[in-house]
Amino acid sequence: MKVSVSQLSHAYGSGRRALEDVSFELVSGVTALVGINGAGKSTLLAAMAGTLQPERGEVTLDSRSISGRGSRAVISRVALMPQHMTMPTGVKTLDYVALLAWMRGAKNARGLAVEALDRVGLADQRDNKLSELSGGMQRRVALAQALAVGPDVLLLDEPSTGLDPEQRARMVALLRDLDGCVLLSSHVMEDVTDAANRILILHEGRLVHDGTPADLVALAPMETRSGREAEQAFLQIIARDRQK
Amino acid sequence: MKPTTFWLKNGIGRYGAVVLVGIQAYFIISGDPSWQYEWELGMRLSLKAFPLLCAVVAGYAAYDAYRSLDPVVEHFRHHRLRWRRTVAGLALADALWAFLAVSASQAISALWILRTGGVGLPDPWFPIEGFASLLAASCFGVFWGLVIRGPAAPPVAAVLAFSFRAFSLPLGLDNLFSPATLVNSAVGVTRAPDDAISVTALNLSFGLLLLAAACRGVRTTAVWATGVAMAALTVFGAVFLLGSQGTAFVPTAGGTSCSRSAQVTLCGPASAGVFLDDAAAALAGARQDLNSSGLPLPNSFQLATPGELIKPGRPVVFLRPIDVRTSRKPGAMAQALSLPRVCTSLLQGGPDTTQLLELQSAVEGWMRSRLAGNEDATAPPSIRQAYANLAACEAGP
Repeated sequence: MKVSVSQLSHAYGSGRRALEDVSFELVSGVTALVGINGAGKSTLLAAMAGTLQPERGEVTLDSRSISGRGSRAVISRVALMPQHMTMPTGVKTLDYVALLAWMRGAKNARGLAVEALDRVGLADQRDNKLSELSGGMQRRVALAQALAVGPDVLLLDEPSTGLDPEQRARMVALLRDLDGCVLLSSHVMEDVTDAANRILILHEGRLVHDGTPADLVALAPMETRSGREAEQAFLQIIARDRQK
Repeated sequence: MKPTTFWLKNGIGRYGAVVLVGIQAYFIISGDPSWQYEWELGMRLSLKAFPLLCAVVAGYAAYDAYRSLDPVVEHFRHHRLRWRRTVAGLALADALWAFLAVSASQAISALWILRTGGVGLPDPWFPIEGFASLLAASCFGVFWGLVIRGPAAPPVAAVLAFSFRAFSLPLGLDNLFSPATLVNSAVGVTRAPDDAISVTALNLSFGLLLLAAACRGVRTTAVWATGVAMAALTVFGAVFLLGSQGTAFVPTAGGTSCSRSAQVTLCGPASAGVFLDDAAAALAGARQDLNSSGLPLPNSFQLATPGELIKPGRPVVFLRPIDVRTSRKPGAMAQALSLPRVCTSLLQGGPDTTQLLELQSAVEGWMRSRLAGNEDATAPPSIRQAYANLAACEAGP
């Protein structure tokens, strides 16, 4: 399976360019998407999930476009965990995940939802209403709804926001175990280096780095404190790009 | 999980249904007390609550739409992945809860009516028209909930539903958000099928139009979608309902039947069989009490049916279930027996109309007193003469 992003460009109504000629390919494994606020990460994920129609460029899954005619079967193989997911109040957790799984075309939606909630550690919250869950738990529900149908392409936008250290470690372990293609957008370099086998850095809508975690760490300045190499290397790449 | 099941479990329709039962019970109980003796009249009287019920349904559907549906479909809007069915599922679920509430209050009133010996006359169109109206209101609420997307949605949807119906009345769309109502006895009458179909089609098409507009993405085209829906509604009203009285009731098909009790025979619509038996027995009892009055009382009667042409000649009685089951009975019997035949002048007007009415009034007054035990068994000469004059009135073709 191969996801191809070709010359993706998009600007919002204000004229701000969110994406500028972004191209890359993804294969199986976890790829991290890193960038400062406003770098275009969420726009890129939305375009890849089909929730945003980019001005230019195309996203294909195994050479089939995710937009336009006949894209329904393709897009159903992609699941997005958005950065901000407004949860409907008054709705039971299991019912919500099951409904979203059904909307993605699952046949045994309820069974899949039970399994997904179990995987994210929310088995005991199934019958609770979403409004009764903490912010961190709601993030895990957002992850569960994306995981439920076992998508070929999983797009995660800041999945660890609001998670406690234990849950973050659990999520990283979960990501490592996933089959298929995962694109993980995150600010947390620790998550990125722990979970991903490839790192993309986006800056001002442009792809400015593409390499393995080892490649990134190697770019860190010599005096960097141990354990923060990836973060320092990231900041250095951003600083260099700004100087161009 | 299918969307309708999801919304049935997770929408607020289940709470709204309780409110609906309360509203409808109030309308039934505070309406014409005749409902206690006639099931269909009770049902039809309760329908007067429908404009209010539909406003409530629109309100809570709008609440569900902005509070729960909008976040659910947020990430699927561009996917074309079953989200339209999810939108439709909400409208259907909220309508189903409302229908259940209406049916429950109807069932309770029916049990009450049957317990008090009332007449059960089912109207097959009632549930169909009723559900179509509630579905239209639910779709209306979902539409506005997705357009407004905030706490203002429920009150706005409710007020708009109520006022939009009022606005559409001049277009002849009386039955938008409301099945046909009847405030008189329903014995022997039923909905005209053509009209009932028109009313059902009106509500369904209106609801589906709004649903289609909502599914096309109302956020960016709210005004356009609303305009199209309202324009389509206007066209529909003009083309399909022109000349059609959505509220028309017609005499029940199914022929007539006659009931015999002692010497009395009463004929009427076959659908009113149980009531015919009771009315014939009441007439026979009253006739027995007046037997020694010396008046040549008739023993064959025809039950008047609303909407049916009354022909001069054979005595026609205007009796309703409430007339034979309450303290109204002596008065109703006196009125029924005081006119030995239907006079042409009483139907069409004539020089002797006033005189005939005075004669009937005198006979009826005496009979009423006699049935109450306040008069001698034999009618005085003036009453006998008045009765003879009434019996001899012109009753030509």
